[in-house]
Amino acid sequence: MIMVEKVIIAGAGGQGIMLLGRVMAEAAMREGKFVTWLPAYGAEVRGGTAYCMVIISDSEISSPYIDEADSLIIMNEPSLAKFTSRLKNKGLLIVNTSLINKEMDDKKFHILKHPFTDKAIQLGNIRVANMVALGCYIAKNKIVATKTVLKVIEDFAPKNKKELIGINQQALLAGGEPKW
Amino acid sequence: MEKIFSHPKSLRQISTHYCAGCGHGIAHRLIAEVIDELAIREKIIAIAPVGCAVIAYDYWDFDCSEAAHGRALAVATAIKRLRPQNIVFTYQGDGDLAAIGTNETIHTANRGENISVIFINNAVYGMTGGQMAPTTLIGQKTATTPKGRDATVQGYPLKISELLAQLPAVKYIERVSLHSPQEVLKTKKAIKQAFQNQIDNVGFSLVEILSPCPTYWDLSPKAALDWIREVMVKEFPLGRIK
Repeated sequence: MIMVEKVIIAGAGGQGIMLLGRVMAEAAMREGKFVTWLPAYGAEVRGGTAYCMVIISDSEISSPYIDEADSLIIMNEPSLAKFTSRLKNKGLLIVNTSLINKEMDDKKFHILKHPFTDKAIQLGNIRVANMVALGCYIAKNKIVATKTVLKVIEDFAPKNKKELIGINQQALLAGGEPKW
Repeated sequence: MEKIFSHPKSLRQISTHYCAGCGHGIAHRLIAEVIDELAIREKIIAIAPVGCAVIAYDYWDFDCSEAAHGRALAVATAIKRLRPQNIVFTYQGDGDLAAIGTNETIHTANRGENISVIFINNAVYGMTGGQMAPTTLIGQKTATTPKGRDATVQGYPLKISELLAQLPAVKYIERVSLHSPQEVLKTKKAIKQAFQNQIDNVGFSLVEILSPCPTYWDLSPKAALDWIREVMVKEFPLGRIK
Protein backbone atom coordinates (compact mmCIF):
# COMPACT_ATOMS: atom_id res chain seq x y z
CA MET A 1 0.00 0.00 0.00
CA ILE A 2 1.67 3.22 -1.16
CA MET A 3 1.75 5.93 1.45
CA VAL A 4 0.60 9.27 0.09
CA GLU A 5 -0.03 12.33 2.24
CA LYS A 6 -1.54 15.43 0.63
CA VAL A 7 -1.59 18.54 2.76
CA ILE A 8 -2.80 22.06 1.93
CA ILE A 9 -1.38 24.86 4.08
CA ALA A 10 -3.18 28.21 3.87
CA GLY A 11 -3.14 31.64 5.52
CA ALA A 12 -2.48 35.32 4.95
CA GLY A 13 0.49 36.59 2.96
CA GLY A 14 3.25 37.16 5.53
CA GLN A 15 2.39 34.26 7.88
CA GLY A 16 5.19 32.09 6.54
CA ILE A 17 2.90 29.66 4.75
CA MET A 18 5.38 28.95 1.95
CA LEU A 19 8.24 28.35 4.35
CA LEU A 20 6.10 25.94 6.38
CA GLY A 21 5.46 23.90 3.25
CA ARG A 22 9.06 24.00 2.07
CA VAL A 23 10.45 22.89 5.44
CA MET A 24 7.98 20.02 5.52
CA ALA A 25 8.81 18.99 1.96
CA GLU A 26 12.58 19.22 2.50
CA ALA A 27 12.37 17.08 5.64
CA ALA A 28 10.36 14.40 3.85
CA MET A 29 12.81 14.47 0.95
CA ARG A 30 15.76 13.98 3.29
CA GLU A 31 14.02 10.92 4.71
CA GLY A 32 13.86 9.40 1.25
CA LYS A 33 10.31 10.28 0.20
CA PHE A 34 9.11 11.70 -3.10
CA VAL A 35 7.80 15.23 -2.55
CA THR A 36 6.19 18.08 -4.45
CA TRP A 37 5.57 21.64 -3.27
CA LEU A 38 3.27 23.94 -5.24
CA PRO A 39 2.73 27.55 -4.11
CA ALA A 40 -0.23 29.75 -4.98
CA TYR A 41 -0.67 33.41 -4.11
CA GLY A 42 -2.33 36.57 -5.41
CA ALA A 43 -1.01 39.90 -6.62
CA GLU A 44 -0.96 41.55 -3.20
CA VAL A 45 2.51 42.20 -1.83
CA ARG A 46 1.17 42.43 1.72
CA GLY A 47 -1.85 40.51 2.99
CA GLY A 48 -4.04 38.56 0.63
CA THR A 49 -4.29 34.79 0.65
CA ALA A 50 -1.35 32.47 0.30
CA TYR A 51 -1.40 28.72 0.18
CA CYS A 52 0.80 25.81 -0.82
CA MET A 53 0.16 22.18 -1.61
CA VAL A 54 2.61 19.59 -0.31
CA ILE A 55 2.49 15.97 -1.40
CA ILE A 56 4.65 13.35 0.32
CA SER A 57 4.73 9.88 -1.18
CA ASP A 58 6.55 6.56 -1.25
CA SER A 59 6.40 6.58 -5.04
CA GLU A 60 6.70 9.13 -7.82
CA ILE A 61 4.09 11.88 -7.84
CA SER A 62 2.56 12.59 -11.21
CA SER A 63 0.87 15.87 -10.37
CA PRO A 64 1.64 18.43 -7.65
CA TYR A 65 -1.94 19.70 -7.64
CA ILE A 66 -4.23 18.60 -4.80
CA ASP A 67 -7.94 18.19 -5.54
CA GLU A 68 -8.75 16.50 -2.27
CA ALA A 69 -6.40 16.90 0.66
CA ASP A 70 -5.73 14.46 3.48
CA SER A 71 -4.83 17.29 5.85
CA LEU A 72 -5.30 21.04 6.08
CA ILE A 73 -3.27 23.48 8.11
CA ILE A 74 -5.32 26.70 8.30
CA MET A 75 -3.71 29.80 9.76
CA ASN A 76 -6.41 32.47 9.24
CA GLU A 77 -10.18 32.71 8.98
CA PRO A 78 -10.67 33.48 5.27
CA SER A 79 -8.63 30.36 4.48
CA LEU A 80 -10.91 28.19 6.59
CA ALA A 81 -13.88 29.16 4.45
CA LYS A 82 -11.89 28.75 1.25
CA PHE A 83 -10.35 25.34 1.80
CA THR A 84 -12.57 23.18 4.01
CA SER A 85 -14.38 21.93 0.92
CA ARG A 86 -11.09 20.46 -0.31
CA LEU A 87 -10.53 18.27 2.74
CA LYS A 88 -11.51 14.62 2.44
CA ASN A 89 -14.01 13.03 4.79
CA LYS A 90 -12.34 12.23 8.13
CA GLY A 91 -9.38 14.30 7.08
CA LEU A 92 -7.12 16.14 9.53
CA LEU A 93 -8.00 19.79 10.06
CA ILE A 94 -5.46 21.87 12.01
CA VAL A 95 -6.75 25.31 12.94
CA ASN A 96 -5.05 28.41 14.33
CA THR A 97 -7.57 29.48 16.98
CA SER A 98 -5.66 32.71 17.66
CA LEU A 99 -7.20 34.08 14.46
CA ILE A 100 -10.12 31.76 13.85
CA ASN A 101 -13.33 31.76 15.81
CA LYS A 102 -15.68 29.80 13.62
CA GLU A 103 -17.62 26.62 14.32
CA MET A 104 -16.24 23.51 12.64
CA ASP A 105 -17.84 20.17 11.80
CA ASP A 106 -16.06 17.72 14.10
CA LYS A 107 -18.17 14.82 12.86
CA LYS A 108 -16.75 15.27 9.38
CA PHE A 109 -13.09 15.91 10.22
CA HIS A 110 -10.49 15.20 12.88
CA ILE A 111 -9.89 18.69 14.22
CA LEU A 112 -6.88 19.97 16.15
CA LYS A 113 -7.45 23.50 17.47
CA HIS A 114 -4.61 25.48 19.00
CA PRO A 115 -3.65 29.16 19.33
CA PHE A 116 -0.47 29.04 17.20
CA THR A 117 -0.09 32.81 16.89
CA ASP A 118 -0.51 33.35 20.64
CA LYS A 119 2.02 30.62 21.39
CA ALA A 120 4.50 32.25 19.02
CA ILE A 121 4.02 35.62 20.71
CA GLN A 122 4.53 33.92 24.06
CA LEU A 123 7.79 32.44 22.79
CA GLY A 124 8.92 35.90 21.70
CA ASN A 125 8.31 36.25 17.93
CA ILE A 126 4.92 36.25 16.22
CA ARG A 127 6.51 35.13 12.97
CA VAL A 128 7.23 31.59 14.22
CA ALA A 129 3.52 30.72 14.40
CA ASN A 130 4.07 28.68 11.23
CA MET A 131 6.64 26.45 12.98
CA VAL A 132 4.30 25.96 15.95
CA ALA A 133 1.65 24.73 13.51
CA LEU A 134 4.16 22.46 11.78
CA GLY A 135 5.16 21.00 15.14
CA CYS A 136 1.55 20.24 15.89
CA TYR A 137 1.09 18.57 12.51
CA ILE A 138 4.11 16.28 12.61
CA ALA A 139 3.36 15.28 16.21
CA LYS A 140 -0.07 14.13 15.09
CA ASN A 141 0.66 12.14 11.94
CA LYS A 142 4.39 11.52 12.31
CA ILE A 143 5.00 11.90 8.58
CA VAL A 144 8.57 13.06 9.25
CA ALA A 145 10.83 12.86 12.32
CA THR A 146 11.09 15.96 14.50
CA LYS A 147 14.89 15.58 14.41
CA THR A 148 14.88 15.92 10.62
CA VAL A 149 12.75 19.06 10.71
CA LEU A 150 14.96 20.65 13.37
CA LYS A 151 17.97 20.12 11.08
CA VAL A 152 16.11 21.57 8.09
CA ILE A 153 15.29 24.68 10.10
CA GLU A 154 18.97 25.05 10.93
CA ASP A 155 20.02 24.62 7.30
CA PHE A 156 17.36 26.90 5.88
CA ALA A 157 18.33 29.90 8.00
CA PRO A 158 20.08 32.49 5.79
CA LYS A 159 23.72 33.32 6.59
CA ASN A 160 22.81 36.63 8.19
CA LYS A 161 19.86 35.29 10.18
CA LYS A 162 21.47 32.42 12.10
CA GLU A 163 20.21 33.90 15.38
CA LEU A 164 16.65 32.97 14.39
CA ILE A 165 17.32 29.23 14.35
CA GLY A 166 16.76 28.83 18.09
CA ILE A 167 13.33 30.34 18.32
CA ASN A 168 12.09 28.53 15.22
CA GLN A 169 13.21 25.22 16.69
CA GLN A 170 11.61 26.08 20.01
CA ALA A 171 8.39 26.86 18.18
CA LEU A 172 8.45 23.51 16.41
CA LEU A 173 8.90 21.65 19.70
CA ALA A 174 6.25 23.75 21.46
CA GLY A 175 3.77 22.91 18.73
CA GLY A 176 4.35 19.22 19.29
CA GLU A 177 3.72 19.35 23.03
CA PRO A 178 0.81 17.14 24.03
CA LYS A 179 -0.55 19.74 26.42
CA TRP A 180 -0.51 23.47 25.84
CA MET B 1 -24.84 74.44 3.90
CA GLU B 2 -23.14 73.49 0.67
CA LYS B 3 -21.35 70.17 0.48
CA ILE B 4 -17.96 70.86 -1.04
CA PHE B 5 -16.17 67.55 -0.57
CA SER B 6 -17.41 63.97 -0.77
CA HIS B 7 -16.36 60.53 -1.85
CA PRO B 8 -15.95 60.54 -5.66
CA LYS B 9 -18.75 58.67 -7.41
CA SER B 10 -16.20 57.10 -9.74
CA LEU B 11 -14.38 55.48 -6.83
CA ARG B 12 -15.92 52.46 -5.08
CA GLN B 13 -16.21 52.72 -1.33
CA ILE B 14 -14.10 49.71 -0.44
CA SER B 15 -10.67 49.19 1.12
CA THR B 16 -7.86 48.62 -1.32
CA HIS B 17 -5.25 45.87 -1.05
CA TYR B 18 -2.34 48.27 -1.48
CA CYS B 19 0.46 48.48 1.09
CA ALA B 20 0.46 51.18 3.73
CA GLY B 21 1.90 54.35 2.17
CA CYS B 22 1.50 53.24 -1.46
CA GLY B 23 0.74 55.96 -4.01
CA HIS B 24 -1.87 53.98 -5.94
CA GLY B 25 -4.67 54.88 -3.55
CA ILE B 26 -4.04 58.60 -4.08
CA ALA B 27 -3.67 58.28 -7.85
CA HIS B 28 -6.87 56.23 -8.13
CA ARG B 29 -8.78 58.83 -6.18
CA LEU B 30 -7.44 61.80 -8.18
CA ILE B 31 -8.45 60.10 -11.42
CA ALA B 32 -11.91 59.41 -10.03
CA GLU B 33 -12.31 63.05 -8.92
CA VAL B 34 -11.22 64.34 -12.34
CA ILE B 35 -13.63 62.00 -14.11
CA ASP B 36 -16.48 63.19 -11.89
CA GLU B 37 -15.57 66.85 -12.41
CA LEU B 38 -15.30 66.52 -16.19
CA ALA B 39 -18.57 64.55 -16.17
CA ILE B 40 -17.13 61.82 -18.39
CA ARG B 41 -17.93 58.80 -16.21
CA GLU B 42 -20.29 57.31 -18.80
CA LYS B 43 -17.76 57.75 -21.62
CA ILE B 44 -14.56 56.73 -19.87
CA ILE B 45 -12.79 53.45 -20.56
CA ALA B 46 -9.69 52.61 -18.53
CA ILE B 47 -7.12 49.97 -19.34
CA ALA B 48 -5.63 48.43 -16.20
CA PRO B 49 -1.99 47.36 -16.05
CA VAL B 50 -0.27 44.24 -14.86
CA GLY B 51 1.34 45.02 -11.53
CA CYS B 52 0.12 45.92 -8.08
CA ALA B 53 -2.76 47.84 -9.72
CA VAL B 54 -3.80 44.87 -11.84
CA ILE B 55 -7.20 44.95 -10.15
CA ALA B 56 -7.66 48.72 -10.31
CA TYR B 57 -11.03 48.01 -11.88
CA ASP B 58 -12.21 46.70 -8.51
CA TYR B 59 -11.72 50.21 -7.12
CA TRP B 60 -13.00 52.36 -9.99
CA ASP B 61 -16.70 52.50 -10.74
CA PHE B 62 -16.51 52.91 -14.51
CA ASP B 63 -15.74 50.72 -17.54
CA CYS B 64 -12.33 49.11 -17.56
CA SER B 65 -10.46 46.61 -19.67
CA GLU B 66 -7.55 44.34 -18.87
CA ALA B 67 -4.50 44.00 -21.09
CA ALA B 68 -1.53 41.66 -21.30
CA HIS B 69 1.54 43.01 -19.53
CA GLY B 70 2.83 46.09 -21.35
CA ARG B 71 0.18 46.00 -24.08
CA ALA B 72 -2.26 48.46 -22.52
CA LEU B 73 -1.49 51.04 -25.21
CA ALA B 74 -2.20 48.54 -27.98
CA VAL B 75 -5.57 47.76 -26.39
CA ALA B 76 -6.19 51.50 -25.90
CA THR B 77 -5.37 52.19 -29.56
CA ALA B 78 -7.88 49.59 -30.68
CA ILE B 79 -10.63 50.83 -28.35
CA LYS B 80 -10.11 54.48 -29.26
CA ARG B 81 -10.02 53.83 -33.00
CA LEU B 82 -13.18 51.76 -32.84
CA ARG B 83 -14.92 54.07 -30.39
CA PRO B 84 -13.50 57.61 -30.77
CA GLN B 85 -16.48 58.97 -28.81
CA ASN B 86 -15.15 57.32 -25.64
CA ILE B 87 -12.44 58.79 -23.46
CA VAL B 88 -9.74 56.14 -23.22
CA PHE B 89 -6.85 56.10 -20.75
CA THR B 90 -4.21 53.66 -19.64
CA TYR B 91 -2.86 53.37 -16.09
CA GLN B 92 0.59 51.80 -16.14
CA GLY B 93 3.61 51.24 -13.93
CA ASP B 94 7.22 51.66 -14.94
CA GLY B 95 7.63 47.99 -15.84
CA ASP B 96 4.42 47.90 -17.86
CA LEU B 97 5.12 51.13 -19.75
CA ALA B 98 8.90 51.36 -19.98
CA ALA B 99 10.15 47.78 -19.88
CA ILE B 100 7.93 45.10 -21.33
CA GLY B 101 5.68 47.66 -23.02
CA THR B 102 8.31 50.02 -24.43
CA ASN B 103 7.47 48.99 -27.99
CA GLU B 104 3.77 49.76 -27.62
CA THR B 105 4.51 52.96 -25.74
CA ILE B 106 6.85 54.39 -28.39
CA HIS B 107 4.69 53.48 -31.34
CA THR B 108 1.39 54.56 -29.81
CA ALA B 109 2.99 57.89 -28.96
CA ASN B 110 4.59 58.16 -32.38
CA ARG B 111 1.27 57.55 -34.12
CA GLY B 112 -0.17 60.29 -31.91
CA GLU B 113 -3.20 58.29 -30.77
CA ASN B 114 -5.59 60.68 -29.01
CA ILE B 115 -5.47 58.93 -25.65
CA SER B 116 -4.31 59.77 -22.13
CA VAL B 117 -1.63 57.86 -20.30
CA ILE B 118 -1.19 57.82 -16.51
CA PHE B 119 2.34 56.55 -15.83
CA ILE B 120 3.00 55.53 -12.20
CA ASN B 121 6.75 55.65 -11.58
CA ASN B 122 7.89 54.04 -8.32
CA ALA B 123 11.41 53.08 -9.49
CA VAL B 124 10.90 49.33 -8.88
CA TYR B 125 8.87 46.33 -9.98
CA GLY B 126 6.36 46.11 -7.14
CA MET B 127 4.07 43.13 -7.49
CA THR B 128 6.81 40.75 -8.60
CA GLY B 129 9.03 41.40 -5.58
CA GLY B 130 10.96 44.66 -5.83
CA GLN B 131 13.29 44.00 -8.74
CA MET B 132 15.15 46.74 -10.61
CA ALA B 133 13.00 48.68 -13.07
CA PRO B 134 14.13 50.85 -15.99
CA THR B 135 13.56 53.87 -13.73
CA THR B 136 15.54 52.57 -10.74
CA LEU B 137 18.12 55.11 -9.57
CA ILE B 138 21.91 54.59 -9.60
CA GLY B 139 22.89 53.15 -6.24
CA GLN B 140 19.34 52.10 -5.40
CA LYS B 141 19.21 48.66 -3.80
CA THR B 142 16.59 46.35 -5.26
CA ALA B 143 15.99 42.59 -5.36
CA THR B 144 18.14 42.30 -8.50
CA THR B 145 20.64 45.03 -7.57
CA PRO B 146 21.45 44.11 -3.97
CA LYS B 147 24.62 46.21 -4.03
CA GLY B 148 22.87 49.12 -5.69
CA ARG B 149 22.32 49.84 -9.39
CA ASP B 150 25.67 50.09 -11.13
CA ALA B 151 25.64 52.13 -14.32
CA THR B 152 28.48 50.13 -15.87
CA VAL B 153 26.48 46.90 -15.54
CA GLN B 154 22.82 47.96 -15.51
CA GLY B 155 22.79 51.27 -17.31
CA TYR B 156 21.08 54.49 -16.21
CA PRO B 157 17.52 55.33 -15.11
CA LEU B 158 15.41 55.55 -18.24
CA LYS B 159 13.75 58.91 -18.91
CA ILE B 160 10.97 57.57 -21.08
CA SER B 161 9.00 60.81 -20.81
CA GLU B 162 11.92 62.84 -22.14
CA LEU B 163 12.38 60.30 -24.94
CA LEU B 164 8.73 60.46 -25.97
CA ALA B 165 8.88 64.26 -25.98
CA GLN B 166 11.08 64.00 -29.09
CA LEU B 167 8.18 62.62 -31.09
CA PRO B 168 6.29 65.25 -33.07
CA ALA B 169 2.89 63.57 -32.57
CA VAL B 170 3.20 63.70 -28.77
CA LYS B 171 1.34 66.77 -27.52
CA TYR B 172 1.55 66.87 -23.73
CA ILE B 173 3.90 65.35 -21.18
CA GLU B 174 4.15 66.43 -17.57
CA ARG B 175 5.97 64.88 -14.62
CA VAL B 176 4.37 65.30 -11.21
CA SER B 177 4.66 63.74 -7.77
CA LEU B 178 2.67 62.59 -4.75
CA HIS B 179 5.14 63.55 -2.05
CA SER B 180 3.18 66.44 -0.53
CA PRO B 181 -0.33 67.88 -0.56
CA GLN B 182 0.79 70.66 -2.91
CA GLU B 183 2.26 68.13 -5.33
CA VAL B 184 -0.86 65.98 -5.09
CA LEU B 185 -2.91 68.98 -6.19
CA LYS B 186 -0.54 69.57 -9.11
CA THR B 187 -0.89 65.90 -10.03
CA LYS B 188 -4.65 66.28 -10.16
CA LYS B 189 -4.30 69.33 -12.44
CA ALA B 190 -2.03 67.40 -14.79
CA ILE B 191 -4.41 64.43 -14.93
CA LYS B 192 -7.25 66.80 -15.71
CA GLN B 193 -5.19 68.41 -18.48
CA ALA B 194 -4.43 65.02 -20.02
CA PHE B 195 -8.13 64.12 -20.08
CA GLN B 196 -9.19 67.54 -21.30
CA ASN B 197 -6.69 67.23 -24.15
CA GLN B 198 -8.44 64.07 -25.27
CA ILE B 199 -11.86 65.72 -25.06
CA ASP B 200 -10.48 68.59 -27.18
CA ASN B 201 -8.81 66.21 -29.67
CA VAL B 202 -5.40 67.65 -28.95
CA GLY B 203 -3.51 64.34 -29.13
CA PHE B 204 -1.29 61.94 -27.17
CA SER B 205 -0.96 63.08 -23.55
CA LEU B 206 1.03 61.49 -20.74
CA VAL B 207 1.34 62.26 -17.04
CA GLU B 208 4.26 60.66 -15.19
CA ILE B 209 3.56 60.44 -11.44
CA LEU B 210 6.43 59.80 -9.00
CA SER B 211 4.82 57.46 -6.49
CA PRO B 212 6.03 55.99 -3.16
CA CYS B 213 6.66 52.28 -2.62
CA PRO B 214 7.53 51.94 1.10
CA THR B 215 7.68 48.15 0.94
CA TYR B 216 10.38 47.86 -1.71
CA TRP B 217 12.24 51.05 -0.90
CA ASP B 218 12.47 49.63 2.64
CA LEU B 219 11.31 52.95 4.09
CA SER B 220 8.45 54.02 6.30
CA PRO B 221 5.57 55.70 4.44
CA LYS B 222 6.79 59.13 5.54
CA ALA B 223 10.43 58.40 4.72
CA ALA B 224 9.31 57.21 1.28
CA LEU B 225 7.72 60.60 0.58
CA ASP B 226 10.91 62.28 1.80
CA TRP B 227 12.95 60.10 -0.55
CA ILE B 228 10.89 61.27 -3.51
CA ARG B 229 11.27 64.89 -2.45
CA GLU B 230 15.00 64.74 -1.71
CA VAL B 231 16.35 62.12 -4.09
CA MET B 232 13.98 61.03 -6.81
CA VAL B 233 13.01 64.47 -8.13
CA LYS B 234 16.69 65.25 -8.69
CA GLU B 235 16.85 62.40 -11.18
CA PHE B 236 13.27 62.87 -12.47
CA PRO B 237 12.65 66.64 -12.43
CA LEU B 238 9.07 67.73 -12.04
CA GLY B 239 7.27 69.96 -14.49
CA ARG B 240 6.05 70.23 -18.04
CA ILE B 241 8.25 68.23 -20.40
CA LYS B 242 6.22 68.88 -23.52
